[in-house]
Amino acid sequence: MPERETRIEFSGTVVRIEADGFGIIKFDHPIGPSSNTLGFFSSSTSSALPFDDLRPGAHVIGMAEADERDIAAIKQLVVTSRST
Amino acid sequence: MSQIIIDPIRKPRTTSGTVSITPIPNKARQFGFVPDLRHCKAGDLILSCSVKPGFLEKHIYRIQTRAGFSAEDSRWTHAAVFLYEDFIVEAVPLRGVISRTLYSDIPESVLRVRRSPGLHDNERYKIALCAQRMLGTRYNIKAALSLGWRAFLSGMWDRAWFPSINSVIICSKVFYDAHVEITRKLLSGCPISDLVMPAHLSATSDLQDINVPWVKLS
Repeated sequence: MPERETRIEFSGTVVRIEADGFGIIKFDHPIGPSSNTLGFFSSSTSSALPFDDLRPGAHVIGMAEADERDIAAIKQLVVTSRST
Repeated sequence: MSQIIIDPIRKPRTTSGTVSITPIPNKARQFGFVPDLRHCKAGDLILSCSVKPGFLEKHIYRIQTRAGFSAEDSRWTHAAVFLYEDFIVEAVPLRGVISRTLYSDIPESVLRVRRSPGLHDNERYKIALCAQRMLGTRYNIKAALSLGWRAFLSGMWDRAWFPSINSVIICSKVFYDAHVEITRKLLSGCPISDLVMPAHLSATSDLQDINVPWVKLS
């Protein structure tokens, strides 16, 4: 387990979402100790996600765990605006 | 960098020994040699292409070269994930998600085994299980189309080929996504929002080729 993992607020845009609930978010600003610009969510890492409202292009805010690795793990998110 | 491949076109001259495997597909038994899959680990990527490519494989090859990949990377037209012993999991046109023995590819396919270095065995098993779970859910054309792929694909793929090519895309992307989910590491050169093709997984420098020697069947 990485030592420097911290939970951080983020805002960003959903890049893609798959049928099994896996998805990727591009952050508006880098977060965490290694300045992650991307986060992922899935049914195994996030307990309650608003899958019905998540679409590519949707803007979201939430909490993510970030460490020295390439991509942050999204723990919570809320959709602030749907894609157009 | 030259690729390490398992190529049945050239009858293996050197082997790492003799083994007795039962049961084994007749074609592989007649060939007399199989790859020594004891060198493979759960979660390994298996790239493959036919010794004699059919029309669909030639089409995939053309798409990948048109996307800018070298002939060496574009030749790979199928991706699967190694599970254990000789079993792999993959999505196959019309048949859906299946697990089967990799020996059934011998001697009609060229194979290449790629692995993410530095992972623990439990992470490798998680990649394999995660990929199996994702494949089971994603091999659903309706679900794929509903996620907005239709618009994207219409510009890149011939729609008539979509059901067949869909399985190629899904297998490659599932390996990539499972790797991201378990390791939280991105594979260089692979798109995050785009379609991951076998050529991306062939070209990335974040996976290492595994040397899998031939063994003679007794």
